[in-house]
Amino acid sequence: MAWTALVVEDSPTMRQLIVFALARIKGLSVIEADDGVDALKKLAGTKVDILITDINMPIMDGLKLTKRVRSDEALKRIPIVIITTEGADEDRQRALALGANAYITKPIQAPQVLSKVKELLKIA
Amino acid sequence: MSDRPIDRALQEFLPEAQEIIETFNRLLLKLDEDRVAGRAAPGMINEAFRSVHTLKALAGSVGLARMAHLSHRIEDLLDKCRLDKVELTAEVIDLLFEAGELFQRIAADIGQGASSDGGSADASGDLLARLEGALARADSGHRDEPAWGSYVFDASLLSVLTEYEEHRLRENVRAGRGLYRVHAAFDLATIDVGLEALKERLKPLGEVITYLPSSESGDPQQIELDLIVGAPGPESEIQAALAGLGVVLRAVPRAGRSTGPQRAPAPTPPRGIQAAPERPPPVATPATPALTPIAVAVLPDIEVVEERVTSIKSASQTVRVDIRKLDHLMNLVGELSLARTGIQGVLDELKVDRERAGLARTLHHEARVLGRKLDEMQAAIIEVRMVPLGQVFDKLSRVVRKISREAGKDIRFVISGAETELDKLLVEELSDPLMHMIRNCIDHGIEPPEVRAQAGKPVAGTVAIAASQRGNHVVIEVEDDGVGLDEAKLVRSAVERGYLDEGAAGELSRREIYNLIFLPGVSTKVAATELSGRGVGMDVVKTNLSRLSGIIDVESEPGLGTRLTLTLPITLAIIQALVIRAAGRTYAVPLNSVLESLLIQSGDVRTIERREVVDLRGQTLPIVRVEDAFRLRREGARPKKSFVVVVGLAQHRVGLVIDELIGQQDIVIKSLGKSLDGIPGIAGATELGGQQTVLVLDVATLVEETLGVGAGEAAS
Repeated sequence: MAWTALVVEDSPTMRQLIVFALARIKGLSVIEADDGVDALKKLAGTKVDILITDINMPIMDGLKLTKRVRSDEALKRIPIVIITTEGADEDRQRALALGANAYITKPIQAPQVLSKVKELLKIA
Repeated sequence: MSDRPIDRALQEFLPEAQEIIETFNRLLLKLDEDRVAGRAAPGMINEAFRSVHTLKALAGSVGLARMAHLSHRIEDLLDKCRLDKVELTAEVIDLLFEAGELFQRIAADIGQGASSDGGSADASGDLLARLEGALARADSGHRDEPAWGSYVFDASLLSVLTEYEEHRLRENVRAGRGLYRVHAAFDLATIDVGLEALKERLKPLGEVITYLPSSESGDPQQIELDLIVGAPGPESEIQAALAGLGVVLRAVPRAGRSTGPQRAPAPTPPRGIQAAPERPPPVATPATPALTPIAVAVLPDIEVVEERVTSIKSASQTVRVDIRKLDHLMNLVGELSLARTGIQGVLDELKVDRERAGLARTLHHEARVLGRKLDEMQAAIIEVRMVPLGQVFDKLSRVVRKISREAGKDIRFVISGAETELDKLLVEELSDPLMHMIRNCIDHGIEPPEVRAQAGKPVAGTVAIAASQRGNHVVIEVEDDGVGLDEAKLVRSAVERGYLDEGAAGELSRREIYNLIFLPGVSTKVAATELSGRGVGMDVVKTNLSRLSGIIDVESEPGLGTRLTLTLPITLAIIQALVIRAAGRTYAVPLNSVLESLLIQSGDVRTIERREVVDLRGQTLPIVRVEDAFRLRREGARPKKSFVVVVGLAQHRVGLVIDELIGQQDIVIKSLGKSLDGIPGIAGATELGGQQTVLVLDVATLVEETLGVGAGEAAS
């Protein structure tokens, strides 16, 4: 199987950490976006199997992105993993209410990223 | 090893963290300015919050526990500020500034190889304790979120707002601002430009609270957004500002007519945006009645510049590069230049051979093309190293703020030429000298407020820093409108330190007196009455600047102020050198310290106090013979005519006596290696092509040795 993950995060370092963690999943290729608007651009051009997004980003944040993806016929089945931080409970609740499937917390831990992504992509 | 994600992350961490810390500090300055001016800037608090939020995650990811914890609490504090649970007072800003400085210190430690942030344990512990205090006080003073007033919001709209956005929405309602939806459709390829244009138009009118995506059009090539805007002015004003953009403006519907702040309990939001039974009378915008179906239009004046294929490219067009890699590139270019010189040599031989004249012409042409391209390449690499001086100026603003508070003086800090660019390394090295200069301006230049008032000056003192580029140099002027340098005190101080005797002091020109300030220990301070140990002497500033091939000059006007002028080369990587010969040997002299060259006859040289001098336009110029400086033995007699290369180091001038001027050349200075490093008067070696290696003179040391400055031998 081959999958594509879209990682949406405005900090290049954090993005790189996630991308590196995901590199351990065979057959998964990764594309990256800086914020929600950039993510929508990428989503229009590529078939994405899983979306991993930060909440707090300039212009379009993770909540709006989740909402937009969930209300789009072509995209609404894409599993969404929200990246949150300790303390941002309110925004995490909102993201889950909007239809995000799971969340991971910063600092990014590779095993946590891997287990959520594998679970959602149904990889053993 | 370096393939381990964590190692890669550490490499990425530092530059990103530094960038964030700089942004954070810049935002604080702006916030403080706005706070003092009484302008609220909620968006800016949020930006500061976001930057420290990212820093927290970054620090946590690379195991910097203290930085992570500190940024976490700062984030909490800023979160409360942006949600108006804590007022942004001077004390809060001070805490934030302290945190910014601590972040910077930790980042600097890491940059210098520290593997943890343990070195700042005390400072961060102390700051954290005060932070906890501020946060605890904040928790007691919680205030209620304002209600929705008469606005009718769609439940699905509210659900996508972050906590902060919801708060801003409520605050806009509380302030009685009008709320609008601006609907715009953007083409995928140009949304960045289009959105920016739209934001710019809206910014002066009010606050863009959020950007909501909508999926109404279904065109996969477009992104549609609803911007929720809060604005104090009339709808017609917004309508006018958006004219021509092809966007649709609608007022958010309201249940009542009242436009004042509403404190009524929040009505249950009805489903969807519906016309409330009593809508306010239509405002003067017949073109867009509030409830027409949304017309979707692509922003018209934006050209489609990229094909769709580019959509998986990263939006960021920049890379971060370790400066050492640029140094390496620069060295390579330098070596290529040498190879080119070698080709020129071969060419010269070919030219003599008549049979190969055609070949020589072709080679000559090719060599010229190569030379031009190398010059371009060199210029391009230098350009990459350039960063705006604004980076340092921002830091200085913070310093000014701090020092002026400590000194109890009100200071207006005026910056100009922040866009002037200089080599990254030089910019870094400049921060400290500039900081000391500015500290001196505030501590010793600017008078206490009451003294200024008596003298009829504005109570707030002005310290101005101005940068400009002049050819291959950058000139930075630091100026204050303070009391000016006290000539009498300077002379007395220099005499006390043994640099001058009373008699010599009387003969000094004003300019020479001012320049005494650059001697170690000389000061205008009356030692017993003023704080010591806080400022750094101007001699240290001068020494640091001369390491950067910088020249400093001072001018002063009693009662009106003092101006320090720095002149620096824009880069140190490749330098232009003057190639000279003395006593049968060839040397290179960095051109940036050469002021001029003169031809002298042996009879022009006079001896004053056992020191050789020549007259230069009525001024006495001390000279040093290169062969004497290096104790070279000359074959045969000295030539009757010699050249004098006038070199300047900071405010000093010395003439180097040589036999022959050979020409100018770009050189890359190389270290002589451990065994020869540190020979006084030699900065390094360089290759001139044709396997010829020559020594590069260290002008700073030669000048110091000749004049005895810095070593305390100048006393007559």
